[in-house]
Amino acid sequence: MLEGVRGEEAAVQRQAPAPAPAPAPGVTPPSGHGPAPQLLPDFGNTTFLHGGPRFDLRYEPVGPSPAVGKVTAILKVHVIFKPFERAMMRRKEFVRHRWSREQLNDFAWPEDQQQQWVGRFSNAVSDGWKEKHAFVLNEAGFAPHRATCDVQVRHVDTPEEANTIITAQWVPRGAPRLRSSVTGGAAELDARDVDQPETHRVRPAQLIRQIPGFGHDSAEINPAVEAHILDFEDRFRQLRQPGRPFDVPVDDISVGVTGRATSPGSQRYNRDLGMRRASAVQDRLMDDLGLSMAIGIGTGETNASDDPKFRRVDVAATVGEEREVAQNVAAHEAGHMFGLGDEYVDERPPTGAVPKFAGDEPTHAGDIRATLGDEAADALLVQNGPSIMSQGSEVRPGHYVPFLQALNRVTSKTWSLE
Amino acid sequence: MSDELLPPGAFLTWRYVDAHRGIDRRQVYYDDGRVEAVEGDDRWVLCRFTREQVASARAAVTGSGLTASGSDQGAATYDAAPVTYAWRLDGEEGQVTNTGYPATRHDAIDRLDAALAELEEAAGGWPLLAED
Repeated sequence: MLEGVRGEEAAVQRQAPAPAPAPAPGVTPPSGHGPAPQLLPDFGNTTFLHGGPRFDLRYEPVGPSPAVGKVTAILKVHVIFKPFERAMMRRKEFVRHRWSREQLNDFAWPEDQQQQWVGRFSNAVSDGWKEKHAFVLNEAGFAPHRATCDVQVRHVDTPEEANTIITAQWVPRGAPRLRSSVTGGAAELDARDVDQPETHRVRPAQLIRQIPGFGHDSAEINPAVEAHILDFEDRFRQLRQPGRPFDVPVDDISVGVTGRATSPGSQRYNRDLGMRRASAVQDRLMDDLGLSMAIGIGTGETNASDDPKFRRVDVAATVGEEREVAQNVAAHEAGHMFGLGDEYVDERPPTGAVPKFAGDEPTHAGDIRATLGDEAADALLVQNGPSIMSQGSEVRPGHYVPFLQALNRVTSKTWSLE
Repeated sequence: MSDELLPPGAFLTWRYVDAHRGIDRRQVYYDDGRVEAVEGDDRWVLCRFTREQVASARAAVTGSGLTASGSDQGAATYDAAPVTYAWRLDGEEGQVTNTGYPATRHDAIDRLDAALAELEEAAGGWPLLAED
């Protein structure tokens, strides 16, 4: 269950029959020749409202399919505008910055920009999240339904009414970006997050897997390792089907194999051990998948601990050149407000913080796996990629799971995504 | 304590990592007064403390309550950029991490940082000002 959704109360309000809401943009309404003959029960004119701690959800059914209803996720925010202060120059984001005279005189939030900021935040969240996927209901004994998904922001006057209290922090123009973040029901955003995207360089299509299970001081492919290799190869072949991301000449797919080891022992020995593990998997993959080349390296104990999970090999298959992706930071942070975790790599955080390796499961993986299955969950494993919860702006099916869970709860049905 | 985090001859260091932006930033305070800035693989001397300033900085490490405090493992913060402070004083070593930085506060770190800011400002190491 997604953090913060636990314990929420779902409410269903049954209202008097009302005119059916307009179908979503781009959706053809049902014909005017009367309802299609069908005997299955449907939602009728019920409007479903769900009030959760992270967002509200409203579902206005139109159905059965092919008519299309509408789900609206509503994020209620209260915004506090905070001017820059001299003490903030000491924060680590800014401590190396050379401040100009103009910047030292640019600490105040321009009042005329505050209302504009509210609108820009709403647009950033809505544009970033709405209508990326549609909900479908195909349940035996019930009329099939389909619904598009709108995402809206509602600004409320008091913190008590809000799902998230946002501190919109002014930062002098030209100064480094604030490290924006979300903690529980509070967020701190740089004023520029709503309309000045950050850019990152990422590889486009990636298949990333950790292949654990090596024995202590061993590079032998034992049954546990074998099972993970077969799983990787199976997924690799699926992605090579016509129309899928790896439907390219095999030589255009680059495969990197990184061998790791736990921290006990010398660095040199563990690097060699990691290399032997990488070579064993590399040889297998080249034989089984017909690869002409795979690049194997042994990082050994680098960034590892004594946890046996580091007796492993990490495999990354990629297609396409590295490219620049833009991320609207406000939309990324909104993902946290909805209950999603981060998906970017952080192998070397300071001591005491938890590292995130490529191929690790993000905090929302369990919910996605349980709700949408392995393929959707595996598409969101930790990696530096174009996903909105990593470094880009792509909203993948798994990212709609908080909305899907709320829809399931309020309708007492099991929906899926298309 | 690794030499990378707290090099020989240093009594205090902090390290800040913003993985989302690829920033690995450190500052190292040496017994001989050097205050060294580290950005990834680049390093340079920000300023030099006098003997008295070194003594004040060392006193601030304990006076701030840092050495008696623990790492902040509070509520999960998304997009945190954790900061670690590590020290070596009179043969005793230790380190504290604020895992939720900058969203979450750590009182001892805040007190130490305020004291260091005064010392670095007096030594010309902070704030950095652009030449007009």
